[in-house]
Amino acid sequence: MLRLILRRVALSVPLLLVVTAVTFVLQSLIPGDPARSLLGPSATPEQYEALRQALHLDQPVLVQYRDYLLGVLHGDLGRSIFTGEDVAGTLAVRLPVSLSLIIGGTVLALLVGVALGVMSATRGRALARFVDVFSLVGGALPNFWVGLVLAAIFAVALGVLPATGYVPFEFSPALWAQSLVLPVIALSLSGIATIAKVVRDGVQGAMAQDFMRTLRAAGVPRRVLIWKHALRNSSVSLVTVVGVIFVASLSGTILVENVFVLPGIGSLAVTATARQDIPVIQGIALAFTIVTIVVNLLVDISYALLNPKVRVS
Amino acid sequence: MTRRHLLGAAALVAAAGLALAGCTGTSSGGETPADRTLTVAVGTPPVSLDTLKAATGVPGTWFETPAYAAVLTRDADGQIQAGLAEKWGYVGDGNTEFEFTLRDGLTFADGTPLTATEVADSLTYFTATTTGPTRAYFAPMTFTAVDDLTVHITSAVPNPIIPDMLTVGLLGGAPISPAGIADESARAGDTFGAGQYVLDTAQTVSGDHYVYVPNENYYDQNAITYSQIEIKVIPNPQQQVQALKTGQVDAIVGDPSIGGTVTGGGFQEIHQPATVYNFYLMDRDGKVVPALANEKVRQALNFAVDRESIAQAALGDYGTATDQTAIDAGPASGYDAALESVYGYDPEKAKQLLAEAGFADGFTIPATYLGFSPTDTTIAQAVASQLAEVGVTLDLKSEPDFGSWVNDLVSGNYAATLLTGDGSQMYINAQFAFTPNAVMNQFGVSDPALNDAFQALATATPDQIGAAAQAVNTVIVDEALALPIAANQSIIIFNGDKVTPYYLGSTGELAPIETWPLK
Repeated sequence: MLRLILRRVALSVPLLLVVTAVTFVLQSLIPGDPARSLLGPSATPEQYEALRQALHLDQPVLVQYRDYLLGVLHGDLGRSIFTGEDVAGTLAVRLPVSLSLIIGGTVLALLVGVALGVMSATRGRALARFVDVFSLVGGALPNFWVGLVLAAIFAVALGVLPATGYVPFEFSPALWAQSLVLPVIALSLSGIATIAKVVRDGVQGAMAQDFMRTLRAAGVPRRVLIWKHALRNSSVSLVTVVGVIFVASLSGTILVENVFVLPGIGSLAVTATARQDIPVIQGIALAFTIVTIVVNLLVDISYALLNPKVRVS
Repeated sequence: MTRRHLLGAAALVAAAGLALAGCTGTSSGGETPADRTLTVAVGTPPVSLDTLKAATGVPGTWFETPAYAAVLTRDADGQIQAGLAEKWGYVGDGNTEFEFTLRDGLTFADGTPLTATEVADSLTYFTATTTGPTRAYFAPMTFTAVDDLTVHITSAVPNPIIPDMLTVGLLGGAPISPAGIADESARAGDTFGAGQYVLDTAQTVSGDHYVYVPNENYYDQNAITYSQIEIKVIPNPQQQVQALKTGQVDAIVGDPSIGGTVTGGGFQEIHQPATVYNFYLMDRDGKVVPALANEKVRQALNFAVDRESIAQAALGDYGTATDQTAIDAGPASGYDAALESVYGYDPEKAKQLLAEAGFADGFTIPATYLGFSPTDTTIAQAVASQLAEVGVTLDLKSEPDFGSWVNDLVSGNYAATLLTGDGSQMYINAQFAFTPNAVMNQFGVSDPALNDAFQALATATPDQIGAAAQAVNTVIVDEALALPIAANQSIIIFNGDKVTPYYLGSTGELAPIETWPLK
C-alpha cells in the first residue's frame, strides 16, 4: 500500500509541472494587459513601465515561469496584482468554502444516489424508469440554473433559506449549514443522477450473479444481500464515479459559487480571470490540481482496499 | 433498507433542513429597530482599496468614503462644508492660491496625529504618485504646511474647483496616514484614513465582502450612524434583487435591467442623471482619419444619429437622449437646455454637410469600445448602423477587458472611442476629454476656442462659474468635439424601512453611504 501511495505521489510531480506550465502559457496568450487594467488611461508612460517592471510583466514568459516555480518551491505563491494580498493566504481563506460545498455536494449525491439506485434496482420498473428520467434530466440541467430556481423558491418565495452569502463555521455552525443547503443541492443534482444509475446497474448485475443465488438459498436475508453483497460488488465502479464527480465539482463550483455569491475558489477564479490577475490564476490552478491529485490518490487507495487484486498487482 | 427506513431518513433530512431554516430564519425586508448595520451590494469588487488607484463615482467611492475623511465635505444640498478643515478659501484673485485650516486635535484611525504636515504630505504623495482618473487635476498643485493646522495650496494653473477637489469624491482630498504612505502594497487591501470607519480585515474577504466598523478615533463620534457597514459583491443584478428582497442587503446599485422591478414592501428606488455615453472624436487633427479634422464632418456625424431610439434601446426609461457631454447637475456642469436642439436626427442634413466637406462618398473611422459591457455594445453597434446610412463606416473593435481598451486608446490607431463621461463639472469634463492634455484627447489636439473658454472658466469667481462653464459647453457642442448619445441614470434601489439614500441637492451626486440616514 505504501509503495502504491509513494508511486502515485511521485507521478504527481510531473503532472503539477505540466499543469502550471500550461496555465502559464495559456494565460500569456490571453489578450489584455493587467498593468493597463490597474493603471487606466490616466497613468503616464513612466508609471506604466514602472508597474510592468514591478510585476515582472516585462520579462519573457519562460523567465516569469521559472521565477514562479522558484517561489512555489519556497512556499511563496506570489501576491495578487490588484489587492496586493498573499495568494497562499487568499486561497487558505477561500478553499474551506469551496471544499465545504464540494464535499457536501458529493456526500449528498452519494447518499441520495445510492438510495435511489438501490431502490430502483430492487423495487420494480416504475422506480427504475424514474431513475432513468432523473438521470437524463439531472445530467442535462445546468447547476447554475438549478441554483437560480432553488433561490427563487426557497429564498425569495418562501423566505426559509438565504439567497446569497456564506457564514463561516466558526461563527455559527447553524448559519454555516443554512448557507450551504441550496448550493449543495444545486451542485449535487447531476451527481445524484449519475450515482443512482451506476448503482442501479451494478446492483442489478450483482443480483443476477450465481453467488447471490447461492447466498439467497442459504437463507441470507434480502437486506444483507443487497446492502452488503450486491452493493459491495458494484463499489469499485461507484468509487470511480464518486472520484469523477468530486473532480467535476471543482469546475461546477465556479458557477454555483457565483450564483450564491459564496467566497470560494470558484468565484475568485472568475474575478481573477476577468482581471488577468496572473498570480491568483496560477494559485487557483495549482490548488485545483493538488485537490485533483489527492482525490485520485484516495480513489486508488479505495480500489486497493476494496479489491485485493489491485493490492497484489 | 425498507421503505419505512427510507421515509424515515427523508423525514430526518427534511426536519434538519427546517430546523436549520428555523434556527435563524432570514427576514424578508423588515429588520429590528435595534439593527444599526448597513449592508449594500455592488456588482464588481474594487480595483483596489488604495485611493491612489480606486475608481471615482458610484460605487467606486463606496469602498473609500467610510474609511477616508476628507478635508472638506458637502451638505445635503451639495454645498461645500467643513470636514477635517474648519476654515478654507482662495487667497487673492486668479484661483491659484488656496488655504485651509484643520480642526485641532485630529488623529488618523490608527491614532497617529493628523496635522497640517501629514495632510500636506498626503496630498503631495497623492499628486506625485496616483495613477487614478484624478491625476491630471491634482498634477499642477503643490502643498505646504504653513503651521500645525494650516495648509497652503499653490496651483500652477488657475483652478476654480479646489474646494471640490478637497472633498472625498475625487479621493485626493482624503489624507492617508504616514503608515499608509510608507506601505503601498498594504493600501490595496486595508484602509489608512481618518474616516468614520475602518476596514475590519478579519471579517473581510477581498473580492467578496468588505466590512467596516466604527473608528474610535474619529473626531465626531456623534456622526457615526452605523455599528457596521458591509459591502457585498454580487455580480448578477437579479441576484442583487433577490438579496434585497430577502433582507440580506439594504440597498443595491440598480441598472436599467432591474429598474422598476422591485416595488412594494417598503422597497423604493431613486435615480438621477449621472454620466453621458459619448463617442469621443479624439482624432480632431485628422492624423488617422483626415475627415475628422473638418468641423462640418463632425457636425454631420451628430446629425446622423437617432439618439432617442438608441437611448430607448440601450437604457430604456433610464436613458435621456442628449447632444451635450454635460448633465443637468447645477451651474458648474455647464449644461444648457437650449443646446439640446442643436443636432436633431436629420440624415439628409448629415449627407449635405458631408458633401460640402468633400466627403460625400463617406470614409471609415476606426473606433474601440468596452465590449464586455452590454450597454456599450448596444450603443456602439447602433451608432455604427446609423452612421452607415450616411456613408460613414464605424470600424468597431470590441475589447473584452479594460486593459486591452486602454492599450487601444494609447496606441494612436483609433480615432474615436465610446465611453461614459462624468458631465457634472465642466472644469473636470473639459480636462478629461477636450483640453490638449486630456486623457480622452490622446492625439493632443488643441482647439483655440475651447482653450480660451476653458481659461475663462479656470479663472472664474464662484458667481461667474455657471456662465463660464456654459461657454465651454457651447464650444464643445457647436464645434462637435464629441458625439454624445445619451445621459445614463444612477439608480439606487433600497429598503425604505431601513435606510434613506439621497442625492445631493445642487450637484445630483449620491450622498456617501455612511451618511445615509437610518430609519
